[in-house]
Amino acid sequence: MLEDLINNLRCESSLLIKDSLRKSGACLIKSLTNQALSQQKPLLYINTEPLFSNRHSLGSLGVQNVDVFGQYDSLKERIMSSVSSANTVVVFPSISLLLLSYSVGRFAKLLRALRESDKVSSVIALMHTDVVLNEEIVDRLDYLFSSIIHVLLPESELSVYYAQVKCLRRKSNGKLETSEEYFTLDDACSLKLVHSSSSAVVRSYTQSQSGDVVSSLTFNLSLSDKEREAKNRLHLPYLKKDSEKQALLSQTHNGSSGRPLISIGDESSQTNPGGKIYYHYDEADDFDDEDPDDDLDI
Amino acid sequence: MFESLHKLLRVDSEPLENVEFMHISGEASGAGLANYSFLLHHFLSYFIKNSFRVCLVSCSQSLTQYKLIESKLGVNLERVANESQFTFVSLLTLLMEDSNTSKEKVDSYITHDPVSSIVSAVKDKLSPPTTSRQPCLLILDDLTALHDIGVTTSDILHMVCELKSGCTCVSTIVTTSLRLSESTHSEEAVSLDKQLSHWSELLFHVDELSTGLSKDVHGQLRIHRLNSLTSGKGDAETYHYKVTDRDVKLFAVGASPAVL
Repeated sequence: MLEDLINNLRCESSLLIKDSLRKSGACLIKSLTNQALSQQKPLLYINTEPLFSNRHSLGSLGVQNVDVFGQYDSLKERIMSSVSSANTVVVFPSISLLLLSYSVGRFAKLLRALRESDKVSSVIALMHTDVVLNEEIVDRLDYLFSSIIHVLLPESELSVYYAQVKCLRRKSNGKLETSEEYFTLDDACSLKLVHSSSSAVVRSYTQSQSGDVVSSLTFNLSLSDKEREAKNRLHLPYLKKDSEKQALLSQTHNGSSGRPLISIGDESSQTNPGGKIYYHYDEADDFDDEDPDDDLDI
Repeated sequence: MFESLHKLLRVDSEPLENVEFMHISGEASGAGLANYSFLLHHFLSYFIKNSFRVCLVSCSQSLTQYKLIESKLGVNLERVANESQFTFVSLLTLLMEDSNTSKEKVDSYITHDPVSSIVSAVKDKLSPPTTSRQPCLLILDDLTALHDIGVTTSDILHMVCELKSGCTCVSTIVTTSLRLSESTHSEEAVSLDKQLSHWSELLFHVDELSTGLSKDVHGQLRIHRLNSLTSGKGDAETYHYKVTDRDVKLFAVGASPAVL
């Protein structure tokens, strides 16, 4: 999936790359930049941090840079006014400092405005997870982007791979696709080899589009008209019929004139032939929880 | 002096003058000076001897402390200050002077746009000779102290950026140091440390020995050369060190004279 995410920058997609000091994800930004340039897509770099040296400048020829450091009040307007060409790929080389000073809600609005813009093809952002330590912010960002690449140190110290990545992609039909892959870098710091350690898992995390849960079941829960009619006609032996219920209710009404509610042998026994036995403990009764045969060796 | 450190840093082939951002962090559990100070003092004397203009912005220590140690390393700070090669700015004194020592005024100074207040104050102190093409070194020492008086991580990072970009020298090296002692090992301090590390090309982390104090090994030093494209754990090298009166001895882990 990593190769697919990098080589096929889809329209209206947003990609979040998460890295840390232990393993940088800047090489993925560079690969994505090169890919966009090879596809003749205009690139817009939003520099939320000052560029201290050339090593931080990941851009190359054909990249438009917009410096927004410290200008967070008019950030959205500045960025939107800078998007001039169609199919523009907007890149945030680092959003960590921005997230420390700018609320996630405002960033979400900015991201939504970019995704809804006709001129923006895709949005790519890099976040250092060891700088933004607030887990709530990280979790909320996970929901804002359609694809996420988490760059990690390979589990094995002796690994020949540069990094391990955990990819996640939300498809337009609501499916969630995940994968775990490894890659190396060549001398020019571009992706050289991608090895998938686990095949992509596809699972559904939302209901089907109709919203009818019953229709997606593998067994039948619904009834046909004929079956429903037969069901309604069936009289279960332990349930009273309506006429019996009415008769009991009328007896209850008459019971207020001094007649017993249920008595064995009178006329009501025709409607309730089984009768009932009520036992009231007498004062002389010696009720004990203990087993009377407890002393016997049975 | 510090030849073993220069050898490890390959100063001959990769001069320190080309490094634009360095970060020194130290983890000290004891009171007093964090044990990264030997690196800070070395860079201070090294760049002064290499004809750099040096501006030292200290957040906790007094000038006397630096003067004493630098005199041992062969640099007379008073003389170079008179020659306008060295400028010392005590940030806390600056805040107190500007706010007329009133606690309420200090609080309002900190809460109301502390970045621009501090940056403008430091820039005023710097007042560089504009005609000079002399390269400049800016040292920001003990930024954690700003956390202690209520400045947020975001504001400290903005201050570093403003000072770095606002410096009119030809080239600038920013050395920031940070205490990560038990009392200040907060989320804010870690976040600040990590962001500064991400900006750095050369990263030093000084730590005490996990096995306790030793007469022959004073601690361990991790040197990390960071390339933003390929940085990873594998680029870091860890050494044991011993600080002597005017030098530091570095040796591979487990290869100290006490062990061998």
